[in-house]
Amino acid sequence: MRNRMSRTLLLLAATILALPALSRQIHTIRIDPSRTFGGTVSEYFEHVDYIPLETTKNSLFGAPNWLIVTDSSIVIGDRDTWHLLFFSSEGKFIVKHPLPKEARDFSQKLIIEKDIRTNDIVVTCFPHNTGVGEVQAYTARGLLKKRERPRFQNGEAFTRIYFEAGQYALNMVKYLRPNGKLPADMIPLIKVYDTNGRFIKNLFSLAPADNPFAFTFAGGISVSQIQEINSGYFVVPFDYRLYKVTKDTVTLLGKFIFPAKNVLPVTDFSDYRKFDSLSRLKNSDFNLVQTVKNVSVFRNKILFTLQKRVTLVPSGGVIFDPLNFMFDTEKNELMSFERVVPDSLSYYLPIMDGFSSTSGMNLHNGCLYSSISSLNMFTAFEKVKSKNPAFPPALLTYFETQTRESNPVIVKMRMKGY
Amino acid sequence: MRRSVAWTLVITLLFCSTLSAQDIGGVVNGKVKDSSYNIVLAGATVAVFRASDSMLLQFCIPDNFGSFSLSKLPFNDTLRMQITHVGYTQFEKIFVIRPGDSPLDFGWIYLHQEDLAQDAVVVTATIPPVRMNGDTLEFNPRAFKMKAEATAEDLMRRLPGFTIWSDGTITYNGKEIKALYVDGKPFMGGKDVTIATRNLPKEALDKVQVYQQYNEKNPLDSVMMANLKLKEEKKMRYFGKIGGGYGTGNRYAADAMLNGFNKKLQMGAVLATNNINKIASDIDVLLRNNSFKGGGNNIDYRSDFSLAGINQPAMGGILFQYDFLADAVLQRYERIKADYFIGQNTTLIEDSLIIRTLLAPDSLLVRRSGHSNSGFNTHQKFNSIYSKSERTRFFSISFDGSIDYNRTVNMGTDEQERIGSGIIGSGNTHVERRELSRSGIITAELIKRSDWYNSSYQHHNRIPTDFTIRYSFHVVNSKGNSRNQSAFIRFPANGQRQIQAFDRIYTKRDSKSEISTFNVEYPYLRQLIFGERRVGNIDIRLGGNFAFQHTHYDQIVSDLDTLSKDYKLNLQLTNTRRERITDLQPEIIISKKFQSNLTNRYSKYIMLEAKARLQHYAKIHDALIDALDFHYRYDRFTPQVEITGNHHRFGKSEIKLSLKFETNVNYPTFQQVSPLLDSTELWVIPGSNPHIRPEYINRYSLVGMIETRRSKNPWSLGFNFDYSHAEDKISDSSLYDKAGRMQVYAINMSGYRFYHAGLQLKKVFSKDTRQTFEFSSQYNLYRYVVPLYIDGAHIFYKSTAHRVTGHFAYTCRDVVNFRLQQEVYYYNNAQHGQTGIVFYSHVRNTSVEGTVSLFRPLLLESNVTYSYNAAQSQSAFEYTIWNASLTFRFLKGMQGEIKFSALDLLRQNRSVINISERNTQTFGYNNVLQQYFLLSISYYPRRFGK
Repeated sequence: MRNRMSRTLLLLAATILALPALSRQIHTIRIDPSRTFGGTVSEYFEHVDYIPLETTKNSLFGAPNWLIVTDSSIVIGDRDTWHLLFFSSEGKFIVKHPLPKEARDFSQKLIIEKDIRTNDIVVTCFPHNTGVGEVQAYTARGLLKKRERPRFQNGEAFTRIYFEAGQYALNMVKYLRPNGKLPADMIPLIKVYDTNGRFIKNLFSLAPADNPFAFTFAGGISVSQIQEINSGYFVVPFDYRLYKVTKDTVTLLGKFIFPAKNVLPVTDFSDYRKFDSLSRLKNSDFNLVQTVKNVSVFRNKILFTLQKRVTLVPSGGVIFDPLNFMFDTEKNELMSFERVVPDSLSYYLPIMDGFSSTSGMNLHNGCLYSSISSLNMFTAFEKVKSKNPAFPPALLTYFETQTRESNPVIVKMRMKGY
Repeated sequence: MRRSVAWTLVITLLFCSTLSAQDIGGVVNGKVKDSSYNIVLAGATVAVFRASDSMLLQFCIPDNFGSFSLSKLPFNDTLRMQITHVGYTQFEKIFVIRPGDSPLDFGWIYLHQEDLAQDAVVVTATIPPVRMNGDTLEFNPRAFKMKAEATAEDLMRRLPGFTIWSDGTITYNGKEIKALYVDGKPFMGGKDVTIATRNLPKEALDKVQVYQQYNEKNPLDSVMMANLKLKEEKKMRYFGKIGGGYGTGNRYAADAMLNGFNKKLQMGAVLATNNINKIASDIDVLLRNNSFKGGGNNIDYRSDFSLAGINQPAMGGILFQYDFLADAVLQRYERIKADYFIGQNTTLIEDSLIIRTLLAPDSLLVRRSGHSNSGFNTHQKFNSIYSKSERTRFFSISFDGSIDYNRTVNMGTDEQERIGSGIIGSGNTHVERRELSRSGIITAELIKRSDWYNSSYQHHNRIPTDFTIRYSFHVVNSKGNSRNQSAFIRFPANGQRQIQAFDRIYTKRDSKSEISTFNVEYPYLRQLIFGERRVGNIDIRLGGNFAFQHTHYDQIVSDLDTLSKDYKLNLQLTNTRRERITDLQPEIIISKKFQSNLTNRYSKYIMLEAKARLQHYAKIHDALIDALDFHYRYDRFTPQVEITGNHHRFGKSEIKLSLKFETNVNYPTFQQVSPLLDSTELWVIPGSNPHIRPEYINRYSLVGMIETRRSKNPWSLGFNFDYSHAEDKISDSSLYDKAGRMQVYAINMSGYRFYHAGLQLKKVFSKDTRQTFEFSSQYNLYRYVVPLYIDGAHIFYKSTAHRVTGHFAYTCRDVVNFRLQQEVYYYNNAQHGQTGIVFYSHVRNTSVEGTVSLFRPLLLESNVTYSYNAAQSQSAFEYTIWNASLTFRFLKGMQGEIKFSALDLLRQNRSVINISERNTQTFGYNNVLQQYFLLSISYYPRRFGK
């Protein structure tokens, strides 16, 4: 009965359809992961490139737990070997550097991000309490620029959002202990600083009492600055409101609406007494959408990735579920990249596997980047051989010289209309 | 007779291959798409059935392009294609493939989404035969059409990736399934998976689930589990058996069993009685023996023809399990379980033995013995446990008890000869004994564990409070009495024979033992001492076992005074003794793990673990007879070191290795330090040695296993090596008198060695879904080097035993089940120190057994076992046991059964005793069950829902 009422209310709310262009205000974006469009690769992309990452004894890694694309390189952060690996844009191995060992066993928090102004790669290690962390900065080609061990206070951690003229904002990552007393005040989550590092103002704050689980499970909000300088986007976990951040404002763009089975009950997500049962739900329910990440916008399309519980099968892959979407605000159509069928443009090979589906794809200069393990590449190759696809030289060489145990392949897809 | 069995097998194999030849044929292709959203439905299931009887012929899941292709479909037969997908309406098409039309291409097939917005009853589309539901692989039994009487085991044999080995092990993709639950709970005790798989009908199953249960502290460690999810049913489900049989020689057998269960409650009761050597020692065996066989050809449970004597057991038991939570949730359950078993047996065992004892190359004793042992015993066992598990806590309390009553009368005659000298001694014994013993143990366990789901907090500045604590209190009490009438006659070389006669009554032989044991473990000592510092990433655990034992023993002995005809107290044997043992073993365990993973490729680790354990062992022994008092105390460091390694190549194989060193200590018992000398023990006279010390055995072992992790045709190879040595082994110093009696003292000697090497190989090959071949082989080599003193001479005995087993099995659908097994055991025992005779024994057993389904309700079963026994200085003895049975099953669901059994058709069964040990070799025979014919009828009542 309650589910039916919730659905009816949602339907009523959703009669205000998502507006087509972002120049107008967006109110709701209805997402039913099981009812999304698919199609073929050619319908969405102009060009698809497969970039095998060079496999040598020195460059062999497990999986691209962090995948960052710059103008001149592909940077991989790998949990298995605990290294940061730099490959050229053609996949040639350049150099690798060890990641801070304190973060390997989670005794410190690790954040790897790209400085969108300079294409530098910044690795930051934050202690859980007041203490010394580590900051490493590399050029896009893997040259070390800086290694420092600054002191951080009170378990602070952040990512950076860059604006023009040297201004930047810090997106604070703030985890709260479960079952503890909630702070009564609002917690500032986006703080703006000037070129000299002087604090200017708080742009966005959230009250733990209104949404404690956003802090307990997700550390607050996570701003994705994939493409544009001067702006970023974020979604509040479990609440699903979508915001845009500029150096002066945070603007509510709209709210994602999911089917009732995909969300926490409205009465529950602000009730901290339900922490234990919700914790179990979060860790066992494969339907629950925790938050929306990797939000980026170009023209009339919003790209995003759902964050849900996933599982690891022993081979290291994950279960394949529609997680990466593109919403066309003009046509009011939602498509899922997992439902895109390979065709001759992609040589009948898949454009992602379960691992890259979960971590999400990267948008850089109009191209989407994902990865496919060699195990899945060769499995797909066996199945498509009969279609006699005209592989490019790089792929031909890859299938002739590599094995299922080689490094993953990066897939670069140029979006249509970008 | 053997030839006719072989011909039957050949004909059946031909029949199976003919069936195979008929099935190749038509092909059908297509592509599946959603009608609205322009997506291919790679998750759909495409199934083709024969329209006339809805038998499933083929099924598949489309590829990533939505394309499918099904082959091996019959021509000119009306077929039905069904395409299903969760959330879509089902698609059906009737078609016929003509030989000229194949392959038949249906092109794009569009499925329509079900309208979920309307408040209509949603008819759930057929769930595909296989799907991933989160992290659980689920098989849908409805997709597999089988006979009405098919059981869960019959279904699991058909499921891709499953292998059911002939030893009862179940593997999935090569990995052993460690536990099988029903609706998330243990089923009928939970110790024997066949009780679930052989009794639950396939039609009662909703899903067969397979999943990995990960060790939260080490996600690389996982245990494979299976769960049989049943269809919803509100009423109690039940299954059982009632049957009886009667045969020649007054042979009989009767069984009755009834089990019922629902979501929370499981109950069962079982009774059995027979005089054909079908003996069960606990309720699990009784439940397994009375299981419904289903459509498969399980080689039936049979009488134990090797069991000595004539046995007339009567057994029964009940079990109970109640789950406070109806639905299983990971790590959350609350359960109470109890079972009770009672068994009684009346036995008559007669044996005839020749015992050769080598004292010196020119001195051999030969003793000829005959015994008759009649007895009545009752054994009762009760087990109960209450357990409650939550995410951060586990608590259990259990009580186990047993009551055993034994009443025996043992009569024997012995004649001892020294080769070259003639008869040197003889004896007669008549012993009657009664004993009632009771045992009870209460155990409580509490485990506190971290909340690993909130792992982001585990590395904050908090002291981990995980621990394990276990306490048990064990009481063993026995009361008894006995009477020993014996006579010993000595035949000296020169002189008259000397006779010693005894009539001794042990009016009381009582003992009582109380043992308290504590076990504690704290796993995070490093965090407690060093806080967040990693200290080289080693783990330090603190633990220990602490045991306190108190034993009280009373004995009152009287001997018949031949003059007064009264029984007078024997002050040398009448005794009270008390023994207190304190065994404290605190330990610190330090371990470090080196691991390396490469996603999609492999995971491997090496773990080093060292256990520093100190053992404090103290024993105080007080007796009424002062000469028996002794006490000792030892403090000894008993370390243990282990290196384990694991290399898992995903989708290919897994290799496990373990290298271990440990020290075990055996402390002298009162029989070794200061035994009571009882003159009615005619042939062995124990001596005391108050200076005897503990023996410290250092053991080294290497165990390895390689298993494939592929879905088809798994194989595994295992090996193990053991080496033990002791420089202060408790051994024997024996002195033989002129009558051939042995006086033996316990002494410490150096030079003890033990070697063991073992190799096991298993392989299954399934050419198709109908035929399966299984091969397994084992080789074990044991070698002992035992130091002894015999008549003052320092001797080494080197014993070597080889045991080789080969096993081959073949099954063809439900028609044929065939097994061939060969076992060879070779043992030799050579005396070193003086040149001398080598004792050897050689045993060879070959068995061939099989069942053939002649036509559906009629089953023919036959097994032939050939046994060969040889020993040095003994003629080889061989015999063949041939058993056969014909079973006719009737009634709906094959619930009725009439069976005619013919056992030991060749009337050759013998129970041979063939043992070589140190400087003695024993060879002889027991009386044993022999030929009989039995007609039995059984009915299996079953109700599992509508």
